[in-house]
Amino acid sequence: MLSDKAKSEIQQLKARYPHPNSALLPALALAQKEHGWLSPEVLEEVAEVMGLSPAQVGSVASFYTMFNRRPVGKYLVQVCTNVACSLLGAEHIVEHLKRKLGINVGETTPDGLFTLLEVECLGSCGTAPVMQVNDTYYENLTAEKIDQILAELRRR
Amino acid sequence: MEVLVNVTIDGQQVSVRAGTTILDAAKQLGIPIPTFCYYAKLVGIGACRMCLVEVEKMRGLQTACTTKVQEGMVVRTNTPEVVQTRQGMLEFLLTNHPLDCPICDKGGECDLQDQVFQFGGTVSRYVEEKRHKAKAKPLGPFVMKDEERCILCRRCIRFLEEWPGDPELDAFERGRNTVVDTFYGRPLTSPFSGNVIDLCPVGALTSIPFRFKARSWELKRTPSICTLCGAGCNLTLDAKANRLLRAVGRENPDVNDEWLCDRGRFGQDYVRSDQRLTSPLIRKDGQLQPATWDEALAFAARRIQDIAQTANPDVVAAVGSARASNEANYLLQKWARAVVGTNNVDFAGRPADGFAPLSSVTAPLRAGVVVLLGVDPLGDAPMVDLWIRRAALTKGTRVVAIGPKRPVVSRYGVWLGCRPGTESAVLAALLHLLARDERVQAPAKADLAGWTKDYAPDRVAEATGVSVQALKQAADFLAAKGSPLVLYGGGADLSPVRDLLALLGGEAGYLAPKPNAWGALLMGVAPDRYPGGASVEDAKARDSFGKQWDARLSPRKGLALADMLAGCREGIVQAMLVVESDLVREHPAAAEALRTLRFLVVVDQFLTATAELADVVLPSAAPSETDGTFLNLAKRLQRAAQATYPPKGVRPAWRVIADLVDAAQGKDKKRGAESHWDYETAAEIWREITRGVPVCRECTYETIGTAGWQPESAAEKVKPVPFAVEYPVAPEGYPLTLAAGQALFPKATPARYSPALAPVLWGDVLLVHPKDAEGRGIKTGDAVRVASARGAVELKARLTDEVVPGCVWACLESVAALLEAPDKATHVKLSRS
Amino acid sequence: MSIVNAVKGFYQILKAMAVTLKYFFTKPLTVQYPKEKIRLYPRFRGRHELQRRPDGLELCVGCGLCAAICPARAIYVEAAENTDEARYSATERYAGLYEINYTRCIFCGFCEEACPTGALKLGNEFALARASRGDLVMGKETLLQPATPHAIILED
Repeated sequence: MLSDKAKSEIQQLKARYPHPNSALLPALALAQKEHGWLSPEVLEEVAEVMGLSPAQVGSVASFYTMFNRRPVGKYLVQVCTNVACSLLGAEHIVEHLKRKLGINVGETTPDGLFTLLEVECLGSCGTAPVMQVNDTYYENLTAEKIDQILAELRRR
Repeated sequence: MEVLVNVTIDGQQVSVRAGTTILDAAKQLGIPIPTFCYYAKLVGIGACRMCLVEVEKMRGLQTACTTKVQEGMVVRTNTPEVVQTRQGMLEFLLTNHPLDCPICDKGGECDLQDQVFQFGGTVSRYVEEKRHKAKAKPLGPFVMKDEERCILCRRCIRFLEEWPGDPELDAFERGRNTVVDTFYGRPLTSPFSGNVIDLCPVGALTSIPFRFKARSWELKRTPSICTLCGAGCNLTLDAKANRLLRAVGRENPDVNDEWLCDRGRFGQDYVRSDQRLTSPLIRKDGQLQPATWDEALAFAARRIQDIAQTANPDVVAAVGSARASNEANYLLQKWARAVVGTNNVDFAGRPADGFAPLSSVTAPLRAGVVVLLGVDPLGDAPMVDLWIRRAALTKGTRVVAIGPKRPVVSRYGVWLGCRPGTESAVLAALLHLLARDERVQAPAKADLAGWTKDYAPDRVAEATGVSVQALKQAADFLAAKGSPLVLYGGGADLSPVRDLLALLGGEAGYLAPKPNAWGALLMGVAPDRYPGGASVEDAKARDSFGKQWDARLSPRKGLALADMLAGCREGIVQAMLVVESDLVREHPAAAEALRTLRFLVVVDQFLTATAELADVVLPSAAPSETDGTFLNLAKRLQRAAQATYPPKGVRPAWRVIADLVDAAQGKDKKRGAESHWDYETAAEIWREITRGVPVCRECTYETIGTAGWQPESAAEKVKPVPFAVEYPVAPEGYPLTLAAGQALFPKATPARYSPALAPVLWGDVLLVHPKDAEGRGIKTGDAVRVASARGAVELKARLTDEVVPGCVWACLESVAALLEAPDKATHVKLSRS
Repeated sequence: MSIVNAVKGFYQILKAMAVTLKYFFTKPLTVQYPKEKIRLYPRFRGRHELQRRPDGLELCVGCGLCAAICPARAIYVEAAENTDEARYSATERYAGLYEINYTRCIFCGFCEEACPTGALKLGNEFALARASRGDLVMGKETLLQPATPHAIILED
């Protein structure tokens, strides 16, 4: 499951910290990057490489919401609904996305392309409303802009 | 150098060691600070905020369990602010606690109840709907989890991390959704999982076998010991309405601290098994049929008397047991010697000459390296296993495991997987390396370098299957850490062990798997020794015991167990009394031999495989149903106290033997003033024992008490000895070697009768290395036939790399009939059936 | 002296006879039980009655607090666990065995006060005489039956 490259990267990460356990967060991030989400099997593999028990790894993975413990679509759409974005109409953005994608928050489109999530502050209040698709920020959102973004993502 | 610091707590001054927490300092002053997550034997984490105290010049309140004292610190534990904060903390804890105390098994012994009662407010201001989580979620066969009741103190998580090193539990999710769980709800597999039940301060983790059986205040609590292995862990037996319902750990830092393994905690309920014998049985028309005690005793006594008189007393033999108490064993040998007049007394698992007890169950804590010579402490004495794990986790102790099956604790070191029967050769190779290691300084070095010249690692590796690299690593651990603790089993060759000690110091001990191996030996259940160890050929001892027992004692040495069994077929032994020993499941020759006897009497709690062959079966009480003393694997004398009365129609083994004598002497002589067999209680027998056994002279039931008594023993100076190792040669047609051992949950008597252990008992399973399975087309779960020159049995295969290639492993009780001798690896062939 | 005494004595006899005569014409207090019903106050403490919820489940959860408080040690409870197939009470636990020994019970009502679920009520049933002692140990089947005492229940 976990590629040999990822395994050796985790080993290197371990050497970087005074306590090797500290490498767990970057290791999980690495595993998520490779698999899209952290399945029990992936968590167990991380545990083995890290020399921890599956429970210890699972505990950390479940604490942080940015680790996906369910499969997500190719594009993980995270819309900020915190104060600044809400004031500037984040609800409408979410509603628009729901309509456009035909799914509710927390669901994935049947074609496996999009997963829609509401998240707390993305740290870009100056350009609210904001959403994050995978690692990319999309700022100053409007309904038209979203249509554009979705169309472009679909084309890719 | 110890640095002392002065602190003031609630106006009282105390000077304590630097590094002490405020909580411990307060404890020294007798000032109570309420705690939840704090547990003296676990690392403090300050999670529950119950122990908040005010410290001058520190902002906010501090957790007493994690804050270390400083010079001049002024602490107040009872200011209005502290009191109010405590109330607030408890109110918070209760907001999400379901308060279902009436149905909670912890009710009555719950820390949360006690603390709220003592420190809490009177009303809750929380009127909203409480959070809801999973209730009654089993974590394996023993532990039931109720997530709503959990207050997230993490004691269970920390215990599994810090003691057995099996971190199977952890906190998942976060905030109000946090739950303590295993990885995706898997069952707990730690052999020590039951301890989290005792540790849980609320009813979040409760016992499944004890579920809803009784409320804590209804229990009659008896301090006693566990008799399911040689460690003799201290526990409290809790009974309601004369039914033994649970066992909980009892503090004794010299034995089990306060922990129990799951075998000991949950296995005690075998006494409630519906398979208990409750009436004597006599064989009539080939069938064992219920009889009255008078009938059975008279019949047994008369038959044995007849056989002894028509031939001679030496055709009678008595087999004691490492499972029975000192009192029963003493009376058994007294019966054989004084009443029958023979020295044919022995028991299975008698420590061989030269075998030594451990210095203590906690000995691993003092070792640098634990060397397991063909034993797996998890099966033989799980508490020793726990101490090894603890030593490895807290002191960096390493484990060098030598043997065909990989013990769990070898994860703290190295496993020298070798073919069965070659353990001594592997040890010799280690000696070879150590004798040539400059880190080792010992006068014996030169001698050993010479004696071990034939055991160069590469040669031994070839002959035993062990890897050279592993050998070098093990030798490195030993040279670097020193002071080894060598644990060996029944068939061990002690010469190389002595040499290892001569090189590195340390100690070696016999890991006795039964609760009273040393006790039975001390009580004189041996063909050549009286109680206390005097030889039967010693005229002075013979006179003294003869006077005490009012009998003429035989000056001839008796037969050892193996000779007795061998003698059965030739009529050298014609009648046998077996007390609480399931010989057929333990001794290879027993099944065949016992069938040829003219008369066999078995005293036991169950209709064991041995009892099934008997002519008379007399039901005996379990250790929890009578008083008795046991000598554990460190020769610590401890009392197993009576927690319940035996079931109707069942008598303690010691009384059965005494009654047998009464029956032989006839009704008129019964209870006569002159009889030496008028025992009303086990304590009376013990008093008689102390008169004949010098070590115990000062010892009464009162002085043994609940903590036990450890006689002083001087450490022996070991002399190095030369040795020779023989490699076993496989005979034609038997390519594999069978090793037998004990599992954590063995199907041995009495654990096999425990209802609670039933789901986890080690079945008739054979461990096979995938390499050996491949050519034979064997898969896990297949029925396989193992055959040695002595016979064949059918078992279920399980493929695993826990065993070395060329070796198959099974529990002793499944394969006893195949072995050449107990504790001896035997050549076998394997096929699918 | 003797005449005075005789007169005094005669007077006393008349006085006493007057009382007797008075009660001869008043309504008697004795009740012709069982032809007549006995008059009881509602809080009269008679035999225990185990209560049920409106949906028929037992209120008793087998906590044993009644047994714990009982000064006469008259109550014995053994709990058991509900299963989906056999459900007796609303929670996980119910009283598998519930016995009250009426040769011991002193009808103090402590048990009723200790009961956390209100499952236990001391009813008005007073006719507890039985032909054998064993019959005075009453189990759940009996205690769950509401009793109809041969009585008239007065206003409180």
